[in-house]
Amino acid sequence: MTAAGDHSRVSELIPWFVNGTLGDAETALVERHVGACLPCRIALNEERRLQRLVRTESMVPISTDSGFDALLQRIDTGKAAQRRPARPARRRFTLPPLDLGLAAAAAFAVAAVTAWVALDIYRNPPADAPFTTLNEPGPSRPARIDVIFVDGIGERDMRAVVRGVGATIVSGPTEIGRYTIELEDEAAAGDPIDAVIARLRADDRIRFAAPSFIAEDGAP
Amino acid sequence: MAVRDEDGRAVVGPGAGDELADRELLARTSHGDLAAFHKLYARYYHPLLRFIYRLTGDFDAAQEGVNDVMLVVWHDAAKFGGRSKLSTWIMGIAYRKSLKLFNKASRWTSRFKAAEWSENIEPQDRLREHTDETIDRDLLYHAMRMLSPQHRAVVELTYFHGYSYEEIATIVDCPVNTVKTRMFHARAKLKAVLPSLSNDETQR
Repeated sequence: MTAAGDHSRVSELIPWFVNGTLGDAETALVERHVGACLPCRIALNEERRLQRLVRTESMVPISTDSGFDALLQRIDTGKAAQRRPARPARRRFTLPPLDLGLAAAAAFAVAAVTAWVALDIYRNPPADAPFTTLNEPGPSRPARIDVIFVDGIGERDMRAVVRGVGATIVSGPTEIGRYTIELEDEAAAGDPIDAVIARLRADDRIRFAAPSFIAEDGAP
Repeated sequence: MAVRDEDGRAVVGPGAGDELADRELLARTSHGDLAAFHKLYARYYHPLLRFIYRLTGDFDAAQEGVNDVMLVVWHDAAKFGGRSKLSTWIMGIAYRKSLKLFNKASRWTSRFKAAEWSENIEPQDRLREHTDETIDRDLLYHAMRMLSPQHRAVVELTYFHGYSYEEIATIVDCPVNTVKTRMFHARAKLKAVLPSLSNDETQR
């Protein structure tokens, strides 16, 4: 290769000569050329300084735990969604034109029966019929917490942790090792769920604890 | 992906010699081994965070982006064919994710230019003592912002993450010559903004 050809090739290779990833042949080519070419020697020093600057621009190391816990939630939620039976494809309902009269008669009959039932309930309401608004709390649901134990924990320790917060395991483990525990009434009444979660998180045997959003049927 | 200090110690992320260990972790991950996946996550978290942040300029989005990338790793662990290094495969996923995040953020900032992310960082920088080093770092920060994410990726992957040009071509999915061309243009732009690159040391 000519000196001009070498110059152009070496000029391109300098960044990877600086980071030490060139093969032997290319490394030798750069070393040979730089020894005799002032512009490439200047470029080499510039690139070394640039590399130093880029590397000193470091980021503060942060804990990976909360990120990993968030990822576990996403994995679990995805699995729960996969387990749910797929909704059957919506079929388009078409009515043969000749049946229109029949359909109209049926619709009229359904409307008449519905009106009759509604009128009956209005005249004779059930004695203990509750009346609730959307803002009122629904029927109380036991407090549930999702937990993941540390690897290699024994059954005895698991029980100790769960009993320690006055709870019982109601489901699990999932494929990623998540259990759902339910606080017994007394525990739920004595300690707010946040306090229980804080206690679990402080326990060395627990890797993850958060309020459970998974309903009994596995749906979030 | 070996980033080492002047004494040769690994500074960030897995060292080059860890490829086999990483592959073992991935193989276990493909069988649903959560402990192995956790280790893999911890090893890649900071390199991925830094890379995605450098490309997007949004730290919160970068944190979310790391999990997006590792979610793909969890689901596709069994699909890794071993044709490239594992870190190259993972960084390739991160590169594509970063470009999507960048494009999304660009649409946002083009509507609300006054709230560009750099504005929130500068005041803190002003509080620092302005040594030559911090001035250079500030200049580098602004210079890097002038580059496209594709050019920034090549600079980051070369100088921070220590990849060869062939590996970078695999990560960004383009020909080797395109990688070299992008680096050439990036160097020219950085040099124009960073005069200190060509100072004292150059004539030695």
